[in-house]
Amino acid sequence: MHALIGWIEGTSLNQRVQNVFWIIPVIQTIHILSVSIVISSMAMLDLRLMGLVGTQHSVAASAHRFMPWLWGALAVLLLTGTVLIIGEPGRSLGNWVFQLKMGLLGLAIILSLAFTRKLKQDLTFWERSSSARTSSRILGVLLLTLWVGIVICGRWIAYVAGES
Amino acid sequence: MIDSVLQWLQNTPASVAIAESTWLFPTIESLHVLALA
Repeated sequence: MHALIGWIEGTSLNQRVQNVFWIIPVIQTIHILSVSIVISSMAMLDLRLMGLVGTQHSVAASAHRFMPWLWGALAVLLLTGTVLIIGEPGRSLGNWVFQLKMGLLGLAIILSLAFTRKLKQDLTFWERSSSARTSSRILGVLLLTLWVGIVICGRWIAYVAGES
Repeated sequence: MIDSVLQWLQNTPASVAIAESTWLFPTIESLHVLALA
């Protein structure tokens, strides 16, 4: 990890991000706006999975409405996050909170893909029985907890020492 | 005028608590970002 951080710090792209004063604040602003899109769309879908809101709509209809926002905003987060890592690799890559955030993100993406896959096989999968509805509620709680955890980790990165 | 207001604000118990705590500021910041959504 130390070698990777050192290599990134030696690239011209790292110097560009460091030396152009507006790049990091602009990218951070886009990153935070994308985070709010992910959280708001996932809160709506996960609360629906829990059966707490929007129960007049099917799970499939809710997923059709909110999942595209997740994947679109995640693509922007990946892009902006990569620029932030290139600009300050020691602050992120060498920081255990960042590593935890990436682990939680990976888990959230895997669960979201599994949720979508089941739905593509059967549009009523998450609602067709009492046990399916229980699984849906558990998945909703788990996913919302993961997304909130990812946001909290994102904020704590700045307050936990990384490699410099 | 503004200096005295800022000085007063900085000396309030809430301000001192946030400044002296290692976890209060990032916790408030986390809630702030979540509330944006």
